[in-house]
Amino acid sequence: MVTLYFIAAGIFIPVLFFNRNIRISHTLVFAFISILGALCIYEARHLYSVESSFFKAGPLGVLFIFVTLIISFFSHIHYVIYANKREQGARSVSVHNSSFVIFVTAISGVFLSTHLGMLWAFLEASTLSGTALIYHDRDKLSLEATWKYLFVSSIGVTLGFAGIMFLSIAASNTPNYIDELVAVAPRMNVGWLKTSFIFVVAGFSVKMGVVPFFTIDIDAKDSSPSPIGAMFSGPLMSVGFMAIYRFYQIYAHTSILEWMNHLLLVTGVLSLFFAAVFILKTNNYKRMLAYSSMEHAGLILIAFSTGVTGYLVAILHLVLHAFAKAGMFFEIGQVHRAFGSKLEEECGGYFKHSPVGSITLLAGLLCVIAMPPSGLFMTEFMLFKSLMISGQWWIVFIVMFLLCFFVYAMVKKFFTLIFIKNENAQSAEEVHPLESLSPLLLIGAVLVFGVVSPDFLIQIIQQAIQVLPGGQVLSNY
Amino acid sequence: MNATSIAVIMGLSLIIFAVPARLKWHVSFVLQILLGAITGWSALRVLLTDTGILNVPFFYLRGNPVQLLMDPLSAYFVLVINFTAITGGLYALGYLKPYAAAKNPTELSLHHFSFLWLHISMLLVCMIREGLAFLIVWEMMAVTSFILVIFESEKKETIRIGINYLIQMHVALVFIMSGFIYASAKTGAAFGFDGLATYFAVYAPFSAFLLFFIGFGIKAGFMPLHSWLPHAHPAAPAHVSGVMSGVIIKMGIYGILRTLTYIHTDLLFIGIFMLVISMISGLLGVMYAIVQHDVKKLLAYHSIENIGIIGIGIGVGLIGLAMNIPELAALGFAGGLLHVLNHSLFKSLLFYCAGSVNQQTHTRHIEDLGGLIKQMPKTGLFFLLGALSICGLPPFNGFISEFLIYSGLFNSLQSGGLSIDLVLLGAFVGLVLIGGLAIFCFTKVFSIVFLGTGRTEAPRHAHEVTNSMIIPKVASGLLIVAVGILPMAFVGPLSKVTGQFVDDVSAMRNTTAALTQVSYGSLLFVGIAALLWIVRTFQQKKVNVGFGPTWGCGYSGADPAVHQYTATSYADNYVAIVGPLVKVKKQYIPFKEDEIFPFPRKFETHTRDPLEHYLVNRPVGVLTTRMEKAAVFQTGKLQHYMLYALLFMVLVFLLTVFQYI
Repeated sequence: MVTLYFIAAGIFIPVLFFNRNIRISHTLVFAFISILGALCIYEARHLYSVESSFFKAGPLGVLFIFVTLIISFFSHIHYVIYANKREQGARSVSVHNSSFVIFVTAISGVFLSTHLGMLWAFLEASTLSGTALIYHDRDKLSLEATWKYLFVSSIGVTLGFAGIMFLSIAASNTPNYIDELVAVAPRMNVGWLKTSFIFVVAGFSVKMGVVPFFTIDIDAKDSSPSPIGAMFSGPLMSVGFMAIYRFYQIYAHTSILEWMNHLLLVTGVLSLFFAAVFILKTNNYKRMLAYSSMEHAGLILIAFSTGVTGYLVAILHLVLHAFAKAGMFFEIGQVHRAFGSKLEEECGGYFKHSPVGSITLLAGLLCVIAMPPSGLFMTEFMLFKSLMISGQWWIVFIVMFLLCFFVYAMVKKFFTLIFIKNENAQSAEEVHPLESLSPLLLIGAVLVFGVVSPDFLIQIIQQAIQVLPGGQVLSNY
Repeated sequence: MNATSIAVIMGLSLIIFAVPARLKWHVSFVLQILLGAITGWSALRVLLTDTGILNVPFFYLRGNPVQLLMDPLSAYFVLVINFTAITGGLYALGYLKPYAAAKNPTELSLHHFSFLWLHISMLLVCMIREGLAFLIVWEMMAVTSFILVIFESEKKETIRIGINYLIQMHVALVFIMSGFIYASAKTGAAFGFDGLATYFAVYAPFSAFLLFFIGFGIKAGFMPLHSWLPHAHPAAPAHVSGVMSGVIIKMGIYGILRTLTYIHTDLLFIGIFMLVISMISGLLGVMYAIVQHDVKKLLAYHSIENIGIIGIGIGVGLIGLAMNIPELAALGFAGGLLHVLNHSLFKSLLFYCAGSVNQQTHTRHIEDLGGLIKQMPKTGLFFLLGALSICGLPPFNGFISEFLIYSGLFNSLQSGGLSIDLVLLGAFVGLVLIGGLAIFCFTKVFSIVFLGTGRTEAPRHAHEVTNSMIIPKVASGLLIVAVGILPMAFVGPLSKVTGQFVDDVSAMRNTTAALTQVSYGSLLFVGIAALLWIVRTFQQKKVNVGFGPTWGCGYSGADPAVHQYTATSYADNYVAIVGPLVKVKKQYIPFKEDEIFPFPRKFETHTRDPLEHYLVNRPVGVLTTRMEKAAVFQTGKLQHYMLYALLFMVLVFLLTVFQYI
């Protein structure tokens, strides 16, 4: 099935690139997304079966493909609106759509690869296609963002490649298949493993959007169209997480487990700190969402570093955040279109403009700043609980303290956007209530998962983390 | 009361969005009445009969059952909430009329919907013990009240205040959540109030209690956690301020009381801690209130003062428990609890009156008002009633609760050693001082706003408000008088609530004699007052009453609007005494010696809350500016971005080498 999927992608991409009929182009993208859906269902039924020697679907891979499927579907709906309202030319739509398909293919490739080289190749492919997606507006600003992204992201991925190299040195003759590496890892040289993990975290941080390469990820989310921002902070963050997770999985059964956890904790707390610093200063709503994504990525790493329950909490948080943040990006896209700006000074009084959209934003805000009853509150709550149980009081204090800045910044700026009438705001276009439906659905799901436990997600995650130390004993959540 | 009926009301609340604008209030109010009837009936049964604790399965949260538990403490708060929320709801009908044209239907729906859900969530807060569900309804209460506060969202200042409120409520939630997690992480017991019993049975209580106290204390408005309160109350529409001051802040008190039911050790220290914080709140609350010029802000500071009085009651009750003086314990808790009801009555009444004045005159500034009792006699009369009872004067309700605390303090002297006597005397002096200053404050407000002559154009065009805005005042007023004249009818059922904290509540029965005498005295007082009034009317029947300007001692240029006491001049002596504690800044140009024909001058005073300024605004301001200054890293230069990665790797390398990670 994976082979068929890649063949399909191979056919769709050139067709999309050369086709100049916008309607056909969009239909083809949706057709491709349904093929992705078929892949998702197929892989869910054929877990752990190796295909084409390089691919195998684990529970985590299937879960992330599911996330990618949902978000790319809504993302493309919003791109259709975006392109239609801006009367985008056929050429730029073709370029975007073909890059979008490459992007989705590369992302799903990352989730399914069992070979580190293959994983790396798909990561690089996602960088290249992502670059094309950012360069949508073809103006000076987006050109700058694009080449910076291409450059920094490539450097990041190269650092990750160095990480793979170090692992290969430690593994000497073992081929770079993850399962085989897991088996031989306990006999490897600890020094090489640590060096490798440092390079991997530093390098793939560019995909996950955490310290140290977060800067470029923020710029990318800001200067790309909003639907792509949603793809970057959901699926692409999962890609970064998956890349780091693969190495964590290999090294988890060696003596450096605790060291890795500490490294992830440091990375998470630093990300939280820098995101807090920047979110206070920015006056750009899309950037705020990007910094908030960075905050959540930091939280995910912190949760992951606490182990056992933390693994579950981290992955669940990642999934729920992907949905909530995608909803927010879509809605901010509408705001951007309505006011012709994404800056605080030029927007305001969105409630009078679009009550449904405003309620969507309010509900999304509730999720993103993790107020009860949103699902993200539940995971943050579990995070604090596992931190407290493991006795890391200082971390609890620091995290809670930093989170206050996010609540303050987000609430302040978004309420200004929703309620306060701004003289400088020119409302160019009406926003149809139906356009807020899909963000409302995504955000609503996250809210519902706060009250009703998302058992099916939890079961998949429990199954996925069985390969990690302590993962088997995790009974209930 | 059962889960279905409450769920049905929750579901029906969505109708508010569907009906036309003029019916939105009706739907919301009918649902409020239904809700009040359902829960109030159960609460009355728990309080007045031997039903015991009601336990109703409510819903499943993430697979765990959540029950609604109604014990006497919950029942008592449920009744208080229902009364104030329903009078507030009724008051909203008249108060919101002028806004009907300016607000779009969605905004009105959101307002009424939030008001109803505020009512629901407050009731649930009192009945849910399971931790997660409690946090959810607690936050629901914060969010709905936030939406209510920012009703006049076209004003930038209102939004700013609302956001400040919401963030402080979120901080409160974080503290409460930390308390729950701390307790359950230490013991492995259930997450929520039920798990606290296990925790407090084993560990020293103060650290966990402090977390809860800060969390709930922010809501209650204990100083120095109060800084949201004096801003949020004035910004909200009057019915919301009434409910907010009447019951929302009492949810903080409820939380503290609920936590205390599980604590049985180290009570002396906790009691003294409560007492000290409460004395500070009470004294500083009333002291700041006196210098305010905004009626609603003044009333907000009085809320802090009354929270202080409630806290003093609880504090001395705890000391009584710790020192094994049942009389002090029972009367302290009873006084504190009764003051919860009393404050909710007279404070909502005062806010409704202030709202009526605001609606008619479009100003809340005291110095602009004057002489309103002639145009708005009913409002003026009810304001006077509220003012008398908030000052703790007989025969009204404020007196009764303070009387209970006083008699507990007095009767327990010499039963706990010298140091305890000193503490009790300290509490006594504190209460007396608070009461005296409150009288000073309300003589100022009432005389400046309602007596004399209008100082500007604003009060001259005022008219009495409509009946829908008078009826809630009548309801609160009746209950105020009822508590004042028939205290036994209210203190009796309260013994069940007090019994949750104190085993021996016989002292409450023993005060019956004293309270009955209080009743007789009150009745006598009312009788004499009525008699005098009748005599006066009878005697004045034939007298022609004329109105004219005050005699200006022969000075013909006197203008009654100008040449009368102002609020500032009334409080000037007081400000001179307490100067450093309440920062009042005067701005004026002094007269020069050789100035024979002085030019027109302005005189302005500005007040600042030093606690708020030094403990909240300044640190937060400094912190945010520092953080913003740290945001120099996003330079946009690629070299820098590369450098960060390098620095990160060096940092990790060093941390590893020096074995920090």
